Amino acid sequence: MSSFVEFQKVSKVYKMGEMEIPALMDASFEIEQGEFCVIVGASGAGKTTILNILGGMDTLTSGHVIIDGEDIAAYSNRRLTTYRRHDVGFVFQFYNLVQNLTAVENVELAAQICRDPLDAEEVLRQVGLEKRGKNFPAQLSGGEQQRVAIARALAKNPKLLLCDEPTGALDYVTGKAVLKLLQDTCRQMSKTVVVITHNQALTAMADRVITVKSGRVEKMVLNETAVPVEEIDW
Amino acid sequence: MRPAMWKITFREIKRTLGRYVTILAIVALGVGFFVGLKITRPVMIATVDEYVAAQSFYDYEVISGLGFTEDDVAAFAALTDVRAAAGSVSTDVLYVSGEDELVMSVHSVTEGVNESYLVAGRMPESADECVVDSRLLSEEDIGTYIEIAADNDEDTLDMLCFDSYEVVGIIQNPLYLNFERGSSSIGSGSVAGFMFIPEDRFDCDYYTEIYLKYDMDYEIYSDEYEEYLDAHTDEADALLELRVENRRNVLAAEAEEEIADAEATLTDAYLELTDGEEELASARQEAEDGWEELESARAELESGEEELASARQETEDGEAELESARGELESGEEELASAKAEIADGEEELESARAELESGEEELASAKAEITAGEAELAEALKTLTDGEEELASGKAELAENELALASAKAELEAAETQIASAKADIEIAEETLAEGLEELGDTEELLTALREIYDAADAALVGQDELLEEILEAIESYGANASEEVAAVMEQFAEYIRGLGDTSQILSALDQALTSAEAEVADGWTEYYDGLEQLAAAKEEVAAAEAEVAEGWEEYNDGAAQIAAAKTQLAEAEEELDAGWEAYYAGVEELSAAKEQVAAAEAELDEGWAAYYEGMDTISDAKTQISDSSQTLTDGWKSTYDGLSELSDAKQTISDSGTELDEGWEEYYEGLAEYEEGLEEIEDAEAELADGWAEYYDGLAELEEAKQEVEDLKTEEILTYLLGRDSNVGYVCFESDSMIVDNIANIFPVFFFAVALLVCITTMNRMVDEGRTQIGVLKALGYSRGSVIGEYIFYAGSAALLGGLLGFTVGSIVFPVIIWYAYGIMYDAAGTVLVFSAPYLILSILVALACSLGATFFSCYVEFMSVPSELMRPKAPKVGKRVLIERFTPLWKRLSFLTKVSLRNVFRYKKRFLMMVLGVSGCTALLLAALGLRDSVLHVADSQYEKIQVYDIEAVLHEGADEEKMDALAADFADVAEDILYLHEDSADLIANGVTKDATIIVPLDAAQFDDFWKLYDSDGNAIAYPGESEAVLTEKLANKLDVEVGDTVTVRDSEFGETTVTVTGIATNYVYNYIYLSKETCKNSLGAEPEYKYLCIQIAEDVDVHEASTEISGHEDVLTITINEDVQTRLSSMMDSLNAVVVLVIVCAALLAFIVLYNLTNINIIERVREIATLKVLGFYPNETSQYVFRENLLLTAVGTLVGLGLGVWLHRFVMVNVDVDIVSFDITILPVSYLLAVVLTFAFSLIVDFAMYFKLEKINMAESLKTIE
Repeated sequence: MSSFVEFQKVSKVYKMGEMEIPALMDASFEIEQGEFCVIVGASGAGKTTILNILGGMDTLTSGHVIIDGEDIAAYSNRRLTTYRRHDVGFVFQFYNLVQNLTAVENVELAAQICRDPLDAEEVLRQVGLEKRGKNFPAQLSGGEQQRVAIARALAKNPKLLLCDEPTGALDYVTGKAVLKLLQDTCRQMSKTVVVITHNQALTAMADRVITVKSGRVEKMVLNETAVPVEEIDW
Repeated sequence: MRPAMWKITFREIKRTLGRYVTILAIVALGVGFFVGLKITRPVMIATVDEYVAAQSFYDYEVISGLGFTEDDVAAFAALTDVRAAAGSVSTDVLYVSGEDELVMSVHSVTEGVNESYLVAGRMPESADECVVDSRLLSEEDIGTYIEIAADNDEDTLDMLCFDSYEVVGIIQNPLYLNFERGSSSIGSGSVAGFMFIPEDRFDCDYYTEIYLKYDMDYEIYSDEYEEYLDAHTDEADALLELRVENRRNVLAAEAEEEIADAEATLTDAYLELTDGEEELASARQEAEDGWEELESARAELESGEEELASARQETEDGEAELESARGELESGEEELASAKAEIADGEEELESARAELESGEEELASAKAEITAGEAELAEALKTLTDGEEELASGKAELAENELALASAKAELEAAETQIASAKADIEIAEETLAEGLEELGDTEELLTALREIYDAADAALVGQDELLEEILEAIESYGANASEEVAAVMEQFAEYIRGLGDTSQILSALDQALTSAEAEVADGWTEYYDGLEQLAAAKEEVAAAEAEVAEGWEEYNDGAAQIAAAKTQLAEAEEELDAGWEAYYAGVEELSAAKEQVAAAEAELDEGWAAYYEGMDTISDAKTQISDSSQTLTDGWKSTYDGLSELSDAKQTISDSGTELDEGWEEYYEGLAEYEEGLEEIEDAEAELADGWAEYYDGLAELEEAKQEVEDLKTEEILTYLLGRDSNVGYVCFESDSMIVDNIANIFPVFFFAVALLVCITTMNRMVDEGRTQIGVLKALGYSRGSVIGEYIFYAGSAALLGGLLGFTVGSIVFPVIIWYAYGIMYDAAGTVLVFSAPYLILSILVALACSLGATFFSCYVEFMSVPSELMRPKAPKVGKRVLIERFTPLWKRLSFLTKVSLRNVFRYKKRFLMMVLGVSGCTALLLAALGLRDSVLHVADSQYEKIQVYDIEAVLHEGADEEKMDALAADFADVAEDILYLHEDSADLIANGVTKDATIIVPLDAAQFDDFWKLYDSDGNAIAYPGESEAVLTEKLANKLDVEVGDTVTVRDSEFGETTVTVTGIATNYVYNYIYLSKETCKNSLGAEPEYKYLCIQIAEDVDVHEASTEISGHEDVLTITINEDVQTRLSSMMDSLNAVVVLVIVCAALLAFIVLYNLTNINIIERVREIATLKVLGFYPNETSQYVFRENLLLTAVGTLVGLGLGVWLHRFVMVNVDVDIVSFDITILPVSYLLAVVLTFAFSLIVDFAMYFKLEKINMAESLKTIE
């Protein structure tokens, strides 16, 4: 039986004029459903490329990416969009909330386009922002914003929750809280969560740690003893 | 700036080329619009100025009521600074154009002033050539003829040398700068065009005006020009006064002379008139005499006819008579002939009578003789009777004797008979003897002959032929044997002889001798025979005679016996005769006595006969005389008949002659009558003439008085003189106001454009600076001075504005004037466009553009420039999302999609952009609407005028005003094409109110009740206006506006004859073309004192008749001078207005540019600003159309708002433009058709969608990876 997410010898080469810059070379790994997976690597190691490909935001040069049994490498743009629409939830480093929508509206924005959305208010409540729902993003703190972003991602009820440096713009405490939320979500809602970070400290809380270096998957480690966020420190 | 800064700047420009171009374009558009519109007037003026200068358009037109002479012209030419002065003659004439007669203004060609611009062909050279208005004719018409209509008035015709002029050239003339050709007092009242002919082709001894051109070419309408002229006006005025004075004197002198002449003429006329009256009296007398003569002639003629009839009768009678005379004559002749015959018969009768008489006489004589003879006879008879009785007695005696003699004769006779019988017997015996002798003779002869033959043969065979002799002897013997004795004896002898012949010859000769003697014997025998015969014959004869004697004797005897018997009978008879004789004797005696009596009676008869004869002779001679007389008479009769005939034929001739004469006489009579009547008419005419003559005389007198007065006036009064500048030329004046139109419009558009440009600059620069925050911070941190940091933006915005300004200036100052002047070209003649470079406008517009862009830049950058670098290097806090008003309406708000919500919030979040967008888009819509509305309004003019107001189909102008009779005739003539006809009186008039004078056309309908069927009067609210009554008037809207009058106010009307009245305005009517004042005929008649002349016909054609067919029929009518088909005017006006399309297109292009620039700018900024948002949405799985909607919904929303605002703005703009476009004869209906609204909206949205479409690809290109980037 194949895994929920499977990277099979995925390569990605960017063409900059005459030059070919390989961003990812023969990267192969798999993630099981319900896992909290951390992809870790230095800047430029290729972890963003993996995220892009995984999130259906970018195509790959060669290889296969099997998500829940489907090879998205063969997808057209349109199908990729549909894939993003229904199967993937994104949490950005900079939250990327629509400034002109309130918190709840931002959640609803995502919810309204997918097949089986969760209730926006409910999700907001889950992320602990039930009282800030009518605030505009600018009126929220970074952590709150990120929580709105997570709510927005969750509201879509995605198969896969992708988080790009979710704590990158947050202070330590807030960051921890966000991570906690993600971990709780993973645990409680059995969502497959992929967190991309350069922060090695986060590996401790992951079920699976994939280390990327210079465009290659250096190692993939299953961590049987994932600790709660509260227990890790950086 | 440092090189690095330059690099940064240029890279920035390159990177954000769209934005740069946006600034450039909006500035170009603003500047272009501003400069374009502002420069149009100078260009128009320069163009016309060049034209005017090139054609030496006059500076002054000098007019005097007295006209000018060559000397006057020379005097004006001699004025200070006058470059040229030209005397000119001008007049309006009717000319023939197809079936119409149109008005042509004819001018003399002037040198040095008002020179014509030759469009095609050449200037006139020979006598009957002309050059014609380019708006009237085109190049193809060269070689055709302008035919002067024959029904121009005398004076006009006298002024022109020819009836037709060949078109040799097509011209424009500065006198007619625009399409207005002016109005005229003749024909239809409006001038169709002008033509120029050389001055000497005018038969006119004075100039109607002098044109002056000063030695300068200052720009038209310029102050210099005005000042220059002001400086020269006094001199010209003074000269004009002088010349007019001079002319006045000359004319006065001439006039006085003329007056003297006229007085003389009048005196003559008086004399003539009195003579004329006398003549007339005598003529009348003559006429009366003539009438009498005519009457007598008629009587004569009638009597002549009667005579003729009687003569005819006579002739007929004469003919009958002649005929009868001829008959008579003929019968006379016949009678005469018969008379002659009778006479001849008479004569014959007479003759016969005479003969008878003579024979009667002879008879008588013979009768007498007879009687005598009868007496003698009787006597003889008596004697005879007595003798007879004696004779009878002797006879009886003789008889008895004779009976005895007879008996003796009988006895003798019987004796004679016995003798005769014995004689006979003798004779028979003799005869027998003779017959025997004959036989003998015959035999002898035969023998002899044979002997001879033998002899001959013997002779021949004499020599020795004894045999022969023997033979002969034998023969003789043989013969002698058979012969009679004598012969035999002879023979014997002969034979003996022969035998005796010893020799043959002897024998022969013997023979011969014998023969010869034989022969002689034979011959003697014959002689004896014949003697016997003779004797016998004699005997016989004797016997016969005896027998005859006996027979005679017997006969005598028998006769005697008979005689005796007869005598006995005779005797008996004689006895009887005797008895009868006695009886006859006695009867004869009786007869004789009777005869004697008869003779006596016959004698008496004869005498009578003679008497009668003589009488007859006499009668005959008388008759002859008579005959000769009557034949004479007949001859005479014939002669007279012939004479009569010839007379008759003469008479007939005469009759026919006199018939002819009579006919001629009648003819003459009738001619005479006609002449008489004519004469009468003439007399009447003459009387009328005389009356006229008198009237004229008195008029003449009055005129003379007037003339005297006039001369006096001329001497004393002020002469109307005008020193008219160019501002009295319609084209020149119109041009100034027309050129102002654009200028007025030029004042509003640019402001608008600059406002938009400013907003575009601000938003753009704002964005620039926002984007450049970090860079500014870095540069500042690096120690770059504020100036050099700012320089980048200054340069960026400034260069865009400068380039845009230059581009706009260039394009604007070329394209706008060219297009606008092209549109004006339909009204103005000056060819080409003189482009004007206006440095002030360039500088001004560039300065404004720079001010805008730099101001915007500075304004945008100010905060950033003031900030410290560290602050700048931090991301700018995002602008807080705001709730908008609409969110209060929760139910509505809830229904909106998030993207709509976002759009709405965005729309209201960025006020500057909102303003810019709304201004830009509304500007676009307003421009479109104004442009389309302009077209509507202008096109609407013709349509409204001819579909809502002048709703009739054809206007016809008659040669002269129609009276009722003519109207009836026309109604009948046009019955099959015209449904209805309205008669109008039209006149030009000046309207005066509130110190303003406007010219207008007076309309006076014959039947005001009918007016509404042809010509709708309604006010601006569409309510019908009643036709004004007496002393009331309805004005058209434009007039009311210009005169500043309202309903209830009064207006003074002054018509072309200077009749003046004041009327109350009862209504203000909507009208689009021309200016009208509607009056009632009573007002016209009573107040203005002008008898309406119904020359104008408004015609509604019948429904099923084609308007052009109808027009052909109507214009072909002899009374119709010219016609106008409203449909054609409508079409022509519309097509004229079509050139406005160029302007409309120009505006539409500008509007589109405006829309593009603004929309592009906004969209561009929106996209750039929201790249992250868009990328996020993409990441969130928004489909492309959903993503683009997120952006474009905002555009559409703003476009919608902008369009809405623009529609309002457009209506205002349109009104503004239309108010400023003030053409005197046209009032534009400030109407925008619904379709134009629709089109403006649709076009605006179309522009917006085009921009959206272009931007869609830009959206597509946005990488989702953008969402992952850090916030700068």
